[in-house]
Amino acid sequence: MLKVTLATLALGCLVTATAATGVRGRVVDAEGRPVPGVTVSLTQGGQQAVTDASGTYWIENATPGADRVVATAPGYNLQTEGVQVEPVGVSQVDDVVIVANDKGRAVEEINELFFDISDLESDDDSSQSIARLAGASDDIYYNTASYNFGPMYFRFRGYDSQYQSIYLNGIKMNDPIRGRFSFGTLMGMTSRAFRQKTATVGIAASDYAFGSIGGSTNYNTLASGYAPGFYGSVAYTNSNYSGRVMATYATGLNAKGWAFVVSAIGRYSHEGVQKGTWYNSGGLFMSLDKKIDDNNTINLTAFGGPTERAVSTPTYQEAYDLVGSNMYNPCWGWYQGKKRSASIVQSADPTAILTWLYKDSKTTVNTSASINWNLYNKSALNWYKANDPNPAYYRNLPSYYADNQEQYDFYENLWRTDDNFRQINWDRIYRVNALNNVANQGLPESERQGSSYILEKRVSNLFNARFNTYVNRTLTSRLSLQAGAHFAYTHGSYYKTIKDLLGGDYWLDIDPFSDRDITLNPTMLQNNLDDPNRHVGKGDKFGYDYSLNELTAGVWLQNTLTLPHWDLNYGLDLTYTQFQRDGRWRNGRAPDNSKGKSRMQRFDNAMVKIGATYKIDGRNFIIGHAQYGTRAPLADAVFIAPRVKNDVIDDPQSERIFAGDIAYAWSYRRFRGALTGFYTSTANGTERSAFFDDRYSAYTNYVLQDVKKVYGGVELGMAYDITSSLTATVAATYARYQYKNNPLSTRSFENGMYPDTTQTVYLRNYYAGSTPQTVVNVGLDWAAPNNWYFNINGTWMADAYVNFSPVYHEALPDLWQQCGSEQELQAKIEELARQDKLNNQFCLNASIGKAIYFGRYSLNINVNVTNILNNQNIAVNAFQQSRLDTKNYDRNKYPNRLTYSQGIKVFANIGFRF
Amino acid sequence: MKHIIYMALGLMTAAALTGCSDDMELPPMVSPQAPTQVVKGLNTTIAQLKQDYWANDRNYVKTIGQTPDGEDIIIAGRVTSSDETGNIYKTLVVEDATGAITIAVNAKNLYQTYKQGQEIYIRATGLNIGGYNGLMQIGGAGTYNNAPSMTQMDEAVFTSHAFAQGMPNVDKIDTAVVTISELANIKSQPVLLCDWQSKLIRIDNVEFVTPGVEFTNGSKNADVYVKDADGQKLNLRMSAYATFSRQIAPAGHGSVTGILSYYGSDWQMLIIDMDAFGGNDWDWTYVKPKPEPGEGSGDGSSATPYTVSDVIGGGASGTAWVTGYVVGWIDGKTIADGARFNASATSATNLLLAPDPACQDVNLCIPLQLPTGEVRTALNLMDNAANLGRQLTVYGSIEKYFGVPGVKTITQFNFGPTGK
Repeated sequence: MLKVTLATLALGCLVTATAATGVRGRVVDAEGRPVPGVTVSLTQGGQQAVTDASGTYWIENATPGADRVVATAPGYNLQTEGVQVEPVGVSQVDDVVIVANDKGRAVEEINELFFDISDLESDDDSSQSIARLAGASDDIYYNTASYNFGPMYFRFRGYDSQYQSIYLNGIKMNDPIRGRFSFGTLMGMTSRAFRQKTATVGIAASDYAFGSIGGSTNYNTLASGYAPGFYGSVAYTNSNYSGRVMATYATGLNAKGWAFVVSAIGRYSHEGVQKGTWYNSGGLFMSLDKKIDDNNTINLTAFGGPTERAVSTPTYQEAYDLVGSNMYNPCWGWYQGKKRSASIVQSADPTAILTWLYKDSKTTVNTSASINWNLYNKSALNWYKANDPNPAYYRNLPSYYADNQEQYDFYENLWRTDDNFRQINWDRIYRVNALNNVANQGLPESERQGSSYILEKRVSNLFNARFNTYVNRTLTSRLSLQAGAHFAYTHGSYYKTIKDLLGGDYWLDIDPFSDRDITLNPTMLQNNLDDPNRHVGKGDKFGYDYSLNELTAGVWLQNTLTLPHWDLNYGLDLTYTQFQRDGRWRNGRAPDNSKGKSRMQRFDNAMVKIGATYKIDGRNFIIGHAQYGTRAPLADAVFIAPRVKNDVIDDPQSERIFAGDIAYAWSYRRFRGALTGFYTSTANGTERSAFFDDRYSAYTNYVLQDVKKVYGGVELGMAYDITSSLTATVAATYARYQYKNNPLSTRSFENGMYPDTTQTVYLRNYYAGSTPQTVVNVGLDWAAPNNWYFNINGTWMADAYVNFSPVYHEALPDLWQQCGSEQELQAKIEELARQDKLNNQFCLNASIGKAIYFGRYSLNINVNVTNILNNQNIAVNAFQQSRLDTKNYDRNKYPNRLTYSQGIKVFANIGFRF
Repeated sequence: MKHIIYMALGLMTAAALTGCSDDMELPPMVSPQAPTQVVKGLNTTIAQLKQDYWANDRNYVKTIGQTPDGEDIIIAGRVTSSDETGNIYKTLVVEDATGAITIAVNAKNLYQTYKQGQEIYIRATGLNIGGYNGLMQIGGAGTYNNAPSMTQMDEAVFTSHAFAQGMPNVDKIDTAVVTISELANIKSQPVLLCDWQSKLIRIDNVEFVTPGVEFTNGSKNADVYVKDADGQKLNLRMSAYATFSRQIAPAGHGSVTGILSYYGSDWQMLIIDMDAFGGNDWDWTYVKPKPEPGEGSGDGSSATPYTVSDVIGGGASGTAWVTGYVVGWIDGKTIADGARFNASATSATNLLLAPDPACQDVNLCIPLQLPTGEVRTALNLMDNAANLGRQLTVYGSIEKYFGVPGVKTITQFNFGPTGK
């Protein structure tokens, strides 16, 4: 494969040799980062070109003689650079450095603040991972989508976040087990400490990595790249947190070649927008550069900080209606006169990266090594031989008593009026545990009863060690080569500990769901057969204890070619992946295949991509990209019931991906934009979900195998400068994200009462849920005199579906008994398989920015208001429960769970710089 | 402008990519399938089987053998009966184009697996067939007055011989239309008697002999007669366990459909549900003239609403006006423990209404259910303590609430002795 690429490369050289004359150069920003999409023109000749991903432009047929190139880009001040155009060959121009203007800065400030908050909201959705776009590209559609396609969970091209790669100094930071990157790692510092970044849209080429189909972002933390000085800011918002304080100081590069950046952030809320939630987070960031000589720089970056927050959970519309608010949070209750949450997340992601950067006129080599931890745990109530303590448990809802008016009225009244009922009743929980203790008095140890209720912590701790190097070399004036190699090792530990016995004596470590009247085999209850019926106390591990270890290694190579009418790139990526489960306990439900290491799962994968831009003239372009190859399945999906056993699905397969897009882009003085069509198909996909199945009183794992999906649609982004300071933008997408086959599923009951089953799931043409497939945003930006900035925009979001549960799409062998005729049976099947749709929504947003300068000091003030119309009925995430009423097959017995976005949301930020 | 053309081209391409909205795939229909060899082995009609084993004795038992060729006898037909309402009990009736047979099975809720219109195949060989007090049936062997007679067979025996095939289709059931006089003639000829037993029949233009009277008293099975224009009578045998056993027989006339059964020496019809009564001329609102109501009673109208005593005594029914005094509310789920004669309510969903404002005897009170909305807002004691002791007249449905007579689904109310 490598040979083929080298041969192609040689061919590329030949093509270059026959090319014509012109002017070539690069456009970079104040921090030296290449700026793509800048229109560059010659003042004398009038010829034009637009910069590519590496910031490079190429103006053909330039008139020989002295001339100037002018670089113009929205959000940047116009900049020029002299050039002597030679009669023959290529005239190289020095880098044109363009500086973001106030309008650009104001936009950035607001956008980053918005990004920080939005990310928080989606971060905790256990069922859903939202691919947040990291923004900051010159692509109008992509930028608008990053910041203004909300509050519904917009996913770029419908992709799950595992298809988007996030890099830090070239190292891919995604969690390899679950595939996604948690933006919480960056601690809300994206507007300062992590402000140097390069975003690559979709499958376009980047110079730092091969990338993923969902695009990539590379954050660069080189200390010498930060503008010297102090920047501090204070922000208020009425959202998940209420206050944010941030301070950053950068020295800039001193005469001895040192540069240093330190940044700190604190975020706090006594109570968030949802009752019973709160937020507490602090973070520290440091970066130190030593410039050894003109070519070599060493950087050490370290950051981290703890976050603790009380969160909410999606619940039923019935509960929202009874309480009278779509912000209802069932996760808290009154305890000793204060609100106490059962659902608390603790996380920290300490990270250290050592980078060596080599740079000469033709070559850049970036080599980094990192270690980092993703420490995460979430608390929840657990219970044994007691009633479900969650207030929104379906048997606590009036609808459960629909055929008994007295009960219905009784529960309805409690829901409407009584916090002890519609919230967690801690007093009752403590009372039950205390009564156990009373009953224990005088009993021998063996007969004492433990806690009926506990608070447990579900822990997932990852340790990652990673290495990456990439080289970017200019071979000729028209040909450049990018290549890289990477290696990563991850050790993920998964277990539960006791957070609080809630007044009880101990907790009996058995599987409560295996404990039934008829237990086939008493050892089945045991979570750890080597230490059965263990009594555990605060801090002790229980339930399950295993690790997933993963190792990946890969190389990639890419060639980019710039010709008068064509820009071309092609590349190849080769990756090796291996992972295995390592169980520490012998589980009673799988005594022979739970303790020790599973069979090693190994995958070899290759991916190729090509890209081409055809420059019709200096203003009109046709751009196409395509990518094809395979990707290893996620360890998280391949193990059927990782909490119990080492079993993997039958014949795990790499996912086969094809992605292609084609765009027409235009760039006139006042009007620019792009219209893109995209089509992606993924096959042999593996998806795992887990849920409590009421039918079997069993926690159930459910793996879909051989999943085929298609994502297709159009994207439009365009901007029109009405005047030099007033710009109208339109960004829109119309797309379909669908399952396209009927995959197989494996169902595994964690209580071991039934053997695993395999069945077909009929999913063809159902939609990937909880993301709007149609979005239109129209905005107006005004960079007013005296450093005022105004923006108003509105977003229409439509065609979002509820995440379906596959159990409604299996052939149901007993359903016919409910139906009196074939027609009735068919109607019932249709009713059960129907996918619910979320309501279409409109959201109006506005922001104001003002910058004030006095000497070397500057002050900026931003206020951003989203959802000005205070629409409180925007459901942003909804999923069908995976329990099916097999008694009456009543579709509404277990209704959808959903989450709403808050109403009007305000951010206010004051920043100070000197 | 050139780029508009490009845009149009691009949009068209994109529309082609996303435009096709194919239907969402449904899981396949899973319906019961009888074993192939049973379906292929169908060799006997129900009429043939009955004729072959018919005897004129009221009670007898025979065992079904094989065909002359030595094959098992297999019959097939569609279920015409249903035990869902309880008037037919532990019995399944199966009919093909030639005739019908009653099958006695010791099982309840047969309708859940064998619905009306369900085609079933029965391997009859080895099962018992015979008479039970005159009705030919397949079932178990038992005794009647110490003589061999039919009884119910075990469910396991039945399920090992009977197989459902496909989904039920009631449109494929034929209903024979006969007159009561014709039935008398049929009864007199044993061949016809054998053929017609258990058939689904309809009799047109009949009326109840005693309209205005409940089918049964709720505890004892009853014979309810209809008669035709000639005064010929047919017994609709009613089970006290039927869901409609307390239904008041309508006045007027119409058709009646049911299974033609036989008991002793005469026909009786078993109706399956209230759809048995066809035609538009039944008067279901007919009430037998009652004796004059006692003093102090109302008639449920706005001007003279029912009193609390009317409701408790059962003299009030339907949707009507009821008047009384607000004396309290109910806390919790039972009236016995939950009656509170005060205004410090913690629930807004109900009220207690009494004949006089001082009443504190829960047995003299009726509960009112307050539906969400205007009614609850205005009446509930939680928010309107001043309502305690006031005379209140409400318009709602008189039915049981908290297990005792009360008023639910209140739509109108008025403070005072009359409705508005």
